[in-house]
Amino acid sequence: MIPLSCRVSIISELDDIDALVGLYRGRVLRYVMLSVGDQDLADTITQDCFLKAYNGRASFRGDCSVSTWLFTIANNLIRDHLRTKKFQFWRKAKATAIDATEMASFLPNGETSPEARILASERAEQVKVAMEKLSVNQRRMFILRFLEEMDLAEIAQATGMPVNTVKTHLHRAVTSIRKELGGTR
Amino acid sequence: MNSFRTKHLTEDQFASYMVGDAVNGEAAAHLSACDQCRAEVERFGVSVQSLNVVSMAWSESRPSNSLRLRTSSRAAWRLHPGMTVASWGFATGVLLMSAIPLARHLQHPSRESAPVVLSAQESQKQIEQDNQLLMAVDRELSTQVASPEQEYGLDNELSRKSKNRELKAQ
Repeated sequence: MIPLSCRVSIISELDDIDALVGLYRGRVLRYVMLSVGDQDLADTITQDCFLKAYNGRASFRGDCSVSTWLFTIANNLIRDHLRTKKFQFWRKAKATAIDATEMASFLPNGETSPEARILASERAEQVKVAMEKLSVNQRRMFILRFLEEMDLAEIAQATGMPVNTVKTHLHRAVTSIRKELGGTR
Repeated sequence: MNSFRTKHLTEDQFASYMVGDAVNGEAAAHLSACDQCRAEVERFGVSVQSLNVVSMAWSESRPSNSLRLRTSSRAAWRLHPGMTVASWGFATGVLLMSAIPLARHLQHPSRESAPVVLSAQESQKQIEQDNQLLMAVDRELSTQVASPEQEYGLDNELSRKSKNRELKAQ
């Protein structure tokens, strides 16, 4: 349980929606986009996620970090969207999907050389393509573990699954991606 | 399964090591000794890190609209019940303003729309007045305006022809 002083600061953090968005939007949007594979849908879900979090901030008990709570809300919204026929249609159309090369174009120019940018985009594209072959659950676990660097208990909380199920999904995801990256012997 | 003595990490050991679900001393010992497995672990980590950096750069570049306005407008309606009461009061007032005259109208129909019922004496008197008026108009018109026959001198011609016809008939 989070101490009272921390809870007070978290509650005041939740009261300012723009500050909340400023702090966590990048991570939530990235997670949603890699989960659903569609930029526009990811924008919509992320916005809904913050509105839902803000409107339901009174129900936040402080049992987990704000980011874990936001990922829980995002997961619920993703699950709801995955069920809709509209999403099935757009997934087939891949209307606003983005590849890693395009993503790499957003890397700051001053910080990376063109060679490093190309190398990063190639490696990122390999992992992204490999991730697209994973199941929805495996992909979500993989992002939370390796991109969000959440521990197994946090992932279990954010996804509402038992830790052992999380482990199983992650083992399969790592094995599959390793194979796609050409590492299997 | 002793990967230190066998050649390389197994799939399961590799996954366990990457996931970090348990401290795997045997895998760690193997990695410290096996350049090939260590290189693969590093390659895996670098590839994932590349996606991490690239995807975050994309994510942070996406434009974001302020949600404060949306939440404040929603909150204004939700947090101030007085607004809701006022809006309901206004709606009720408008309804009453239109309902009361309608009810009055139904109960006491206005004179304009009521049929005019006159007594027989009044009716006869009115008819006489109307007849006098019409006759006066007729007289006025007949003295002031010449008929088209008179205007073109046809009235004499017509009367002469009719007399001839009468004589022939006799």
